[in-house]
Amino acid sequence: MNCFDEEKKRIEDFFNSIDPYKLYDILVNEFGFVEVDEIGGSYEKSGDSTFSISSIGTNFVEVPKIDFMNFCPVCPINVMKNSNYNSNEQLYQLAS
Amino acid sequence: MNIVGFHGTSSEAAKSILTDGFIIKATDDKYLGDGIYFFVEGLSSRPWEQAESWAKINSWDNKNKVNSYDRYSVLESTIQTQDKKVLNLKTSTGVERYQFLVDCYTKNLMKIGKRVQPIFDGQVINFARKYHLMDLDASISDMYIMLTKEERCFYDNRRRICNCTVCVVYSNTKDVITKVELNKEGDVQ
Repeated sequence: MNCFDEEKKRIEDFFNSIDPYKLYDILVNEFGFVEVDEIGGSYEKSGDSTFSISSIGTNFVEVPKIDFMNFCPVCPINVMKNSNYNSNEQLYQLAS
Repeated sequence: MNIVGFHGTSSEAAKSILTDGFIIKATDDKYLGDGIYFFVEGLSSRPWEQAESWAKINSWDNKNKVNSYDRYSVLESTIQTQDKKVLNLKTSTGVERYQFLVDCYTKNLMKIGKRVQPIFDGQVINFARKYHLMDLDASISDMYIMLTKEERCFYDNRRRICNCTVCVVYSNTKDVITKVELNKEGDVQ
């Protein structure tokens, strides 16, 4: 057994033993994951106007606002800060 | 495994680092998790120049339209750890380790009809580290980072081609970051 097999077993054991509701709570509330809409694969973080992202199929659509200098210079996701495009419908139209 | 990394920051912060060591901020979780970020050799053969560009561009305070610091520094560090304690996302093994974790939590949540995604990959790594699923000192990955004002002004947000290789170190102890020294300093403008 190599070191990554041990890691794999540790991960499997963890997920086999943890209650899914508890895991959901940890990922969303402790680590800031967002829930994904099962139908379209799209999501928005409700009540948070700082970003809006939508994925349609496998193509991610991210629409920046004009003032690019507000954005973090590293991460494309932060481009969505202050986005004018806050609905998945708008994003879907842009992707079509 | 020995890695030489370059960290760009304000000269004031650099002085503090040289005296007291690096500080890991909990807010640094956006890319590869909470840790200390370094440009390393990989996609660029001159990572110190990328650290310099980063230090310069990062001084800009867009809210007040001024530079938040006038002098920048580039610190050169040596990172020492075991291979198995590095999540190397430039290799198939590293990507498989990461993907296995993602598959496991996805499968677990499907039991209750839920699906979640991280906003940043770093959230997955933070989770794995906090719950001792992965014993990591560092992660390495290629990524795209805007290193000039021009790139930030005319940012193509669909770009997926990486321009640099980054190493994030999760421990600020001298066991892992064995050497820190000043590589370069200068004026932001």
